[in-house]
Amino acid sequence: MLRWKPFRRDPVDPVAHVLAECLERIEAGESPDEVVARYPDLRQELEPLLATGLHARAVAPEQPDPDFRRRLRYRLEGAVPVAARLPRPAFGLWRARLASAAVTLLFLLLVAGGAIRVSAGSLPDSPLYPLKRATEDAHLALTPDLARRFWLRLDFAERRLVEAHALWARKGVVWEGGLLEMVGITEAVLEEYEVFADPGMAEGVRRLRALGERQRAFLEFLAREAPSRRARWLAAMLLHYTADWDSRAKAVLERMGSGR
Amino acid sequence: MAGSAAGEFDEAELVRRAQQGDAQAFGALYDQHVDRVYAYIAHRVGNRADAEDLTQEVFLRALASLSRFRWRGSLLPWLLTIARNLVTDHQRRRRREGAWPAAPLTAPAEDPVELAERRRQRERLRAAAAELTELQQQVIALRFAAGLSIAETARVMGRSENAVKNLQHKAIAALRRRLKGEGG
Repeated sequence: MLRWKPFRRDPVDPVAHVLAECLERIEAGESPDEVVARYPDLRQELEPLLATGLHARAVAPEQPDPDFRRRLRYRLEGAVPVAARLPRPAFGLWRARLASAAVTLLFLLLVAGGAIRVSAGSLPDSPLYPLKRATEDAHLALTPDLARRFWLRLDFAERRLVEAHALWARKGVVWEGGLLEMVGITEAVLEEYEVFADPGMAEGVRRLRALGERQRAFLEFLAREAPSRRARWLAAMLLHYTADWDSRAKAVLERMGSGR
Repeated sequence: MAGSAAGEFDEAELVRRAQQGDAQAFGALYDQHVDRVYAYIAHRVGNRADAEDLTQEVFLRALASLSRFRWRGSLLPWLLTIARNLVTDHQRRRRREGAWPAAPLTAPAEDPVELAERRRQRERLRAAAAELTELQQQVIALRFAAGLSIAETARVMGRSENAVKNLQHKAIAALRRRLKGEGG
C-alpha cells in the first residue's frame, strides 16, 4: 500500500540535492564531466560520491535466469483468467442491488413469511436458497444505520463461508461463486471501514479480522486439497488477494485508537 | 525513470486490459518490469533461490490485487512496494530462523571472465551495502539495482523526495567509506 505524506517538508542538504540532480542528469545521458562542471565549488566533494553512485548503478542490477523468467511468465498467464474473477470494489453495484431488494421487500413481507423461516438454513443447491438470498437483500435494504449495515454484510460473508464449508463437507463440492462472494463482501466492508474509521465500528473491524482468518484457513485448505486444479488456483489467488487484510484491519484499528 | 507520455498511455491501457483478464496484456506488463523487480529483490536478499521465489510472489500478489490497483503514472513503484514489503517479511523470518546459506546469484550467459568479475564486484557492493542502515539499503536497492528515479523511490518508500535525496547522499557516502576501507 503506497503511503503519501504530502504535507511533510524535509529540509534537504544542498550537497544531497546537487548529488541527486547530477545522478539524474547522468542517467538522462549527460556525461559526468559536463555535470560536475556545473558545480565547480562542489567538485571535490561531488566527484567521489558520483563515482561510487555510478559504480553501484553499473554493478548492482542482476538479471533473472532466462528459464526462470520464461517459466514464471507462462505460469502467470495461466493464472490471469482466474485472477480476473476476483472481486472488484464496486459500491455502485451494491446500491443497485439494494434498490432491487427494496422492490422485492414488500412481496417477501406480505406473501412468503413461512417459507423464509424454512429457507434460513438452506444451502446453495436447495430450491429455497434464492428465497434466503432475497431475504438477506431485503434485510439489508431495511437497515439504514451504517455500522449495522457493515455488521450485517459480515453476517452474509460468514454465511457464505458456512455454506461453502457445508457443501464441501457434505458433497465434496467447491462452491467457487460463494468463495468469491464471501471474499468480495469482506473486502468491500474492509474498504468501508478504512474510509470511515469510526471508533464506534471497532467491534466490527475485530469481527472482520476473525472472520478473515477463518476464510483464509478454509482457502488454505482448498488450495491444498481441492480436487480440481482450477479450484486450487482460485483458492490460491484468493489467498493472495486477501494477504493484506489483517494488516489493513490492524491499521484501521490503530487509526480508530483501538490498538489491536 | 519517468516514461514518455505515449509509454504511460500504453502501460495504462495494458493495465486496464489485464484487469479485465487479458493474459497477454499481463504478460506484456510482466516483460516490462520483471527484470527490475528481480534486480531489486536479488540485491536485497543476495541468493538466487530466494530472489526467484520472492519475484514470483510479487507478481502473483500483484495479479491477485490488480483489480484494486489505481493507475498513478506507472506500475513499477507499486510492484516494488509489494517487493519491498515481501523482502522485509522475508528478512525478518530469516533473522528468526538464523543465517541463510549464501547460494550464488547467476546471470545470463556471457563472457565467463567478465561475468566472474562483475559477480565479484556485485558481491562486494552487496556486502558493503549490507552494513548500511535499513533505509539506506532500501535507497541503494531502489535507485541503483531497480533503477528508479528519486520521485519513484520516494513513492515506494512513502517519504518525501527531499528525504530520499538526503538518504541517498548518506548512503553513497557510507558505501564509499566501506568500499574504500575494504581496500578496493
